[in-house]
Amino acid sequence: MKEIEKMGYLDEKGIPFSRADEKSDKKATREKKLKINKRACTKCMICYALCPEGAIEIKGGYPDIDYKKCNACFICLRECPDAAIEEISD
Amino acid sequence: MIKGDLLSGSEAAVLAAQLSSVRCTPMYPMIPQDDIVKKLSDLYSSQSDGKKTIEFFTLESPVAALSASIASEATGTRTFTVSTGPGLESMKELMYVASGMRLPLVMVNVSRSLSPTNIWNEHTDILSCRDTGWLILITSNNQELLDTRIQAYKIQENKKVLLPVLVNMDAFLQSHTRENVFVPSERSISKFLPELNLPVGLNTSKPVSLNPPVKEEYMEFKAQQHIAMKNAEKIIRNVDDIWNKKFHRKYGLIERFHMEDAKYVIVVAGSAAEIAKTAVQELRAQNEKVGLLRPRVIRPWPKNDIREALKNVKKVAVVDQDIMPGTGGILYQEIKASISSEIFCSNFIAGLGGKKILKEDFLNIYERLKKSEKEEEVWL
Amino acid sequence: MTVNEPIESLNDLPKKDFLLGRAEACRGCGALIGLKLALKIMEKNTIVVSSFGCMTLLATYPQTVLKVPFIHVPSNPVAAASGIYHSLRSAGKEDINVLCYIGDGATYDSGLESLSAAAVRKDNLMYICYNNQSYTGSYTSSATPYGAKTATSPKGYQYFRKSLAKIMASHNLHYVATASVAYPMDFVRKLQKALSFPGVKFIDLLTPCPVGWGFDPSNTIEVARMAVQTGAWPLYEIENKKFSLTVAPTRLEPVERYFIMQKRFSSLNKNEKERIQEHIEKEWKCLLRKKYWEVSEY
Repeated sequence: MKEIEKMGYLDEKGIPFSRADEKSDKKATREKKLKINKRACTKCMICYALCPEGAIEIKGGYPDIDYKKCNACFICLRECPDAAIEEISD
Repeated sequence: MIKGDLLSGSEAAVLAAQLSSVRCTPMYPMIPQDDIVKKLSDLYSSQSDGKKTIEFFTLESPVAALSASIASEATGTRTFTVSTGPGLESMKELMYVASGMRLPLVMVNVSRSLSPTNIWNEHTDILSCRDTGWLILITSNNQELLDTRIQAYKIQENKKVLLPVLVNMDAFLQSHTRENVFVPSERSISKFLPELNLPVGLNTSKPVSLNPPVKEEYMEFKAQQHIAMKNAEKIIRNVDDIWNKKFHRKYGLIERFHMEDAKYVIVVAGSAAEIAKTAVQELRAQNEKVGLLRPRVIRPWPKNDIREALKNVKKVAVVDQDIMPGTGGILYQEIKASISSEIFCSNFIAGLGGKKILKEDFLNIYERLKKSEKEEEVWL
Repeated sequence: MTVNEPIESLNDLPKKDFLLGRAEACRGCGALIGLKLALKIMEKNTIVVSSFGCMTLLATYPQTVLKVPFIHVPSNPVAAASGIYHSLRSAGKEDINVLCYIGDGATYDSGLESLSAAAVRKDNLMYICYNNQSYTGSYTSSATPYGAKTATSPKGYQYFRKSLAKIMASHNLHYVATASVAYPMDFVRKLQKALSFPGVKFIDLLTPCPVGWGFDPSNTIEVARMAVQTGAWPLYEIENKKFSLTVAPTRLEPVERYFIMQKRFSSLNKNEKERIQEHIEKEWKCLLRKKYWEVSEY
């Protein structure tokens, strides 16, 4: 409990707004882990375009999963035309 | 003596907007504020295509006009919009949002009655917005309207306030009536009012998300808004002093007229106060100890000023141009809560739906107040 | 600036992302895919406007996932977007785009008056309606198809929805289209074409909702594809009053294949399904002959 006279005025911090923090450590919660098999991958980029969280990045020409953003919705596994994505043990 | 211009309330509002470099004006015309909209539209079309200083456009409903003003102010452009009676009531949903987002936006309200259907003057619409978190000022003549509207920017753009302001004028009695108004020069206003500099806004070089959903920290944001409204009282006094030094006109949070040794006081807001002043002068000429108190700032409510002014008074008559069905006048409840319960305070309801209030009405109110033994609610 | 070079394949998609990821949305949310692709094309100089709906949760406090400015306006969001457009014009910053990414509840129902008025005023807005055919997955809206089960229609919705793309086409807009998240190249091409025109541009994007429609999150794209293949959600564009189907399967799949994928259609009986199949076939014949105004969509 706080008396109103003792509460200070916070200037800009008292305005409700939020910023994007690129260095945030927040991890997405996921129950399973997926992996892209580069030998089977034909670089069609369907998984890259359709990932809802944007967890697939391009590294060295091949798609690569960022495990901090992936929440294992399995859309990429379903949509890959070459069956190049598989579930692995965590 | 320098002669001023003959300006109606609508013309004064538009002129004040031009002087304070307002750049965007989303509007929805509705009687009686459509005069302001017409004049802005004429101004916009008279400007040549490359040199438009005011961006004027109309929208499809009053709520849309406020929605556009909120977003436009958030991008860092000084914005101006108008409202009236039923339109103000439908805008109320977004008024809470504008205040919660802490946007310095000025809205001029031309007070109009709500129900039954009527287009004339009444104060219920503006007084029902007391809880929205907007600063509310009720003016009584066109000179005060011009001055208050320009002062409003200086008050709200102060970093300790950052709250929207509602400036009120009476329908037809002020908005369509010409009075003598001294207009300050553009150069003196540009010195008084610097460029708008929002701490947080829609800017592609510093992207932020405005008005996000909040859960745990909700009470803290509300406390900050509350403190900002309390800060506003001091800032209003400071700005008033600066204005007085530059332009020799002082208003204050309340106006006192012949209050030095008054035993009977009439309290009234809005343009009816001008008529009440003539009645008070007549009564003083007959050596009656009567005075007038006009609350100018409704939010933040100047409780200490009113308590101080009515300290040694015997009887008070609060004249309300509004009604809370089942309870009484709105100003009466607020005044009664601010003064000692030993002071005799009667309520007079007048002028609803635009019914004329004349000097004789105030003389009758005074007679009734002097004679009555107990506090009563009287309808004129 | 928006990406103007023609995008021939998914390999040509711009690599920069304007969503940080880890959004507070459901797993497999279709609406996030739409926003990700739209921001890749519109890039940094964009202001996003949204209303009450699923995408409100993107900008939580204190962290948000959007790297572009975003404002959430509860009521009449298109009027707010018009306000932003006019204030940017008065400040001389006309190169900044305004994107309205608003759900079907606030488009088909409560925001329709603002959208219609903005279309007549010709304000420069890009309007994408992410259509999950309900209010945040749970309640019926004017975009809910016949027979869908929701909390406010437990025995199946008894009315046929309206097609907003056709209504907006009668406002003399330069560009109106429907799209689906299962066809990302089609959506991206439509977006680029739309951005080359002035005035209000309208795209109705079908974004399946795993929670509301009742299917496993991994099937989001499959459901969106089946909606197009069965004719339940035809993909077309109306450019300067010229109508054309952009994805036309040579033979429509039976609509039963679309119904069995989702739990929300479990209350439809055999007669109703046949009625819907006939309706879709009749509509498809008219669309093939470019007479889009003669039949209502399913």
